[in-house]
Amino acid sequence: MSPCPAGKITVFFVVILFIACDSKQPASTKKMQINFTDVTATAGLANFRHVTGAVGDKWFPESMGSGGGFIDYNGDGWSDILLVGGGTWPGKSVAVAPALFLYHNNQDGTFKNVTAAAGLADLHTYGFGITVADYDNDDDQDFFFTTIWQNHLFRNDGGTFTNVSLGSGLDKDLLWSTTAIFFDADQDGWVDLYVGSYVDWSPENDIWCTLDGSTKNYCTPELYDGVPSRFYSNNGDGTFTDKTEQAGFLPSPGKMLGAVELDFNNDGWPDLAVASDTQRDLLYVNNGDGTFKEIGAVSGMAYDENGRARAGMGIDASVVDNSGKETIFVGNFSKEMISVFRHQSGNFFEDRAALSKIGRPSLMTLTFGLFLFDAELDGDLDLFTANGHVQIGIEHTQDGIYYRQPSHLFLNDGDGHFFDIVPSIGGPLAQPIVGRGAAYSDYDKNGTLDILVTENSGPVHLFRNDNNENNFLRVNVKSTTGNRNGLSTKLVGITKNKRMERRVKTGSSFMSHSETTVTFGLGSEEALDSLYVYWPNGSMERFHNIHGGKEINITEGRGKLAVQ
Amino acid sequence: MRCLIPLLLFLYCCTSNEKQVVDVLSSSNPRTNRFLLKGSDALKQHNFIQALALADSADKYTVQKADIHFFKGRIYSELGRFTEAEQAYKNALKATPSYRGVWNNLGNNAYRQQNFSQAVDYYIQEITQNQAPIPLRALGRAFVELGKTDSARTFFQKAIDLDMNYAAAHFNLAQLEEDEGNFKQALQHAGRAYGIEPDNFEYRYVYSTLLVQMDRGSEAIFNLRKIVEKWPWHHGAHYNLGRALIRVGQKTDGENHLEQAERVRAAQAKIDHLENTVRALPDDPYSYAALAFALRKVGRYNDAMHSYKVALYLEPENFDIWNNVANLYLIQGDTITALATYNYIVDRNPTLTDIWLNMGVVYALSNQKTKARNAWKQVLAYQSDNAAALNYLKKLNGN
Repeated sequence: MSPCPAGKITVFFVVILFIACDSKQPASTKKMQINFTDVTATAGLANFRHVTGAVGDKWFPESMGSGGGFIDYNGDGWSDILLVGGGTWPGKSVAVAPALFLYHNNQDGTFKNVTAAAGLADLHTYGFGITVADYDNDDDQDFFFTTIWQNHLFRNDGGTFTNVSLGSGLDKDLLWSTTAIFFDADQDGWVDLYVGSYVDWSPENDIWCTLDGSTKNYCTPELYDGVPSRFYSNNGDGTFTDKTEQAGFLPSPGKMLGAVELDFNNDGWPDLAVASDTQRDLLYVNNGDGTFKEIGAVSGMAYDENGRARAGMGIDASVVDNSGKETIFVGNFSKEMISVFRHQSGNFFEDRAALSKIGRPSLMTLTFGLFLFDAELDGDLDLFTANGHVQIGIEHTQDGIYYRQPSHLFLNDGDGHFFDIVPSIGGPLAQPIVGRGAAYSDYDKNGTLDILVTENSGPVHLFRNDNNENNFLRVNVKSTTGNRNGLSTKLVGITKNKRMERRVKTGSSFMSHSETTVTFGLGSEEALDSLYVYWPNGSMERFHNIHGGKEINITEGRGKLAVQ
Repeated sequence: MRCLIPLLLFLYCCTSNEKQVVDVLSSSNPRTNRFLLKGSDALKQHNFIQALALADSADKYTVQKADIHFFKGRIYSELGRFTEAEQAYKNALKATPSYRGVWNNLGNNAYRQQNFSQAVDYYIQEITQNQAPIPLRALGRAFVELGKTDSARTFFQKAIDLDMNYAAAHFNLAQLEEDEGNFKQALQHAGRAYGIEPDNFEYRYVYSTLLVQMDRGSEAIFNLRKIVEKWPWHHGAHYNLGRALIRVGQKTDGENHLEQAERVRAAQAKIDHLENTVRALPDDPYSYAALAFALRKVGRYNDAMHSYKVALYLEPENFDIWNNVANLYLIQGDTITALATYNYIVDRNPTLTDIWLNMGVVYALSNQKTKARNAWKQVLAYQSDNAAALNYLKKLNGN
């Protein structure tokens, strides 16, 4: 019955030994070269603070926002930054918070607040997300802004914006909207708009939620009814028509937080994958005429392996391995793996969360922003996630889970296996934050992709990518027969050892917008051997031996490249 | 000695679905053991108040107080009253510092409260005294929750090294390997767990889902059909069966199961929410009653009974809940206990006409016409115009 003292010592030794072993990380020397620098302050973004309007009521929307991203508002070819300020509650707060913040890129690594000059200072609401596209095909970047009440469409008039919501057909639904995505569903040359809706919440039907039985905390969405998302068809005259039902988007469970355009069946028509919070994720396959059929459950991408709906937030999709098949990634709650579903055949997807090695490391974090990008320009798409919990004080009730969480940067080994290098490289990505939106762009035009992350009730972060050892080629496309931005254009870049497939798209991530310029990482290669451009109208153009280290423009049908 | 076996089987218990180590209580008084045996039976039936009373009775006949404290700790753990459970376990340690299983059960309670670091500390305390498979496996589980997978794997393996037929440890190792994407190893361990305990449907389910994930769904269909037969409320089994059937070309059948999975999932989401509510409001009998109702609705009768009994522990004189308990016995086919429960209620409050009415129905269904008639007459004694009672009596007299 009584163990000898030696036995005790042995047991303790074993325990300590193996606790220590868990801190080791699989990291190659190459991976250790990745480095990001937090340049928020030097870039002039330090004064930004997202506000929630919280005064102690713990109203659900306060924990969810907000997004932000990149927009070239003045058409100078440099990425500017557009941020959602959040909001305050009427009658609750004395001060009103600006809804939007626009920062002009000074082309020297710094930004200047031009919100007022651009005509965006007068809007006060409770905002969540942005998506950017040239909806009126006049060669500039307009944007759509989601809120808890009326959404707003801003038309770019040569570097200043006009709120054209009223009468646009987008101003009628006063619902809690989240992520929106522009894409040309029917390929008529005008981008349509899918607007995600979340839950039926209002101050009047707010539910009292608690972690400890005595104090109120933020609710999770199970307690509220979902509100179906909406689809608006672009009429080509500056107005939109609600075709949610007509296009096959009803019924739907609502609680949508992310959407990504893809073409998993390679039929040339854009499909849509939707991340839903505590509801099944959705996969809308395009019927080839701008209407859709939802096949998420049958395809195998709607649930986890046990048929459980997860808390889907950010989403992205692309080809990330040698299979040539698209893989969908969805950020989920803590204790839920990031979803990884690779297209298999027909309408079927296989769950690769565990096999990809992303699943296990993602169990302790709650992921909002999520996107694929080539972090080290080696030709493979890597996965960045912005993380942060929704329950303040979660660490006191759930051991091992924290309110503020580090980001993940999963590097791709080229065959769909990923390793989170943040624990190894440390630096700004390892700093615990309350991450929400996330977007990428090469804001300093050095070829590497930099990261923008927003925090709930906190600052924005601009992480400069300092990995500039590898070569690159950046490509802008302009469609002449389809939508001007060339959304849904597929680009395939070929080098000696790589086939890289990229897609021009908006949406993805969480309430945020990344640049639409496509970046090919060339590694040590000097040039792209071939570049195939598959335009939305089904035509293809092919270019050869394009030297890297530059950004080029391709206009549909011209058969030549222009260096920017 | 034979009579000790069932008692000892439960002495080490925390949750009813875990295999437990038995130990010998050499100093136990036979009279104490009798009370504790009955107490264990009561606990098995979720009769918490009775179990606590028996523990108090046992207390009078023994100097070995640690047994009593330990048993009380188990009762409070089952009730989800962790503060009282911790106090009872610590009293057991005070009486007998080397009492086996106490640290393990403290660890289990910490685990259930999601205090995983605390659980690790407790399990290590247990292991220093008793390097047995159960605390080793429990330690592994706590490490899993903390994201320390290397440590978890080591302790699962150590548990297996000590007992190669420890199915739960194989099962946990299978889940760990599955999460890591090592499906082949996961299938080996899941198959081992299932082989050791072929009647364990949880093991059977995980084994089957691994086959589905490995694109060997056709091999899983038989088992998944068995699982949905036994557990029609199990959305995961419906979901995986649906997927497997569709992949082998049985589209209609598969889609039916996917639809059923969606229906069951909605019910499960409600149960999940109610479980969170009882965790947040552990003193609220109505939260437990609501959870019990939801569980009963999907056919999880044993879990429903557990929740009803916790509600009754919190509010022993709530006859609405007693009535639901009696009805649940009835649904499970236990007419005798159902009638005993109805009688228990009307003994305390004979004016409850609904109870008399139900009693009459049960007696009538079991062909005890006189008793049925008397029961319905009792209804009329308190409510002379009760239409249902009048109708039943009319039918009974007509027959």
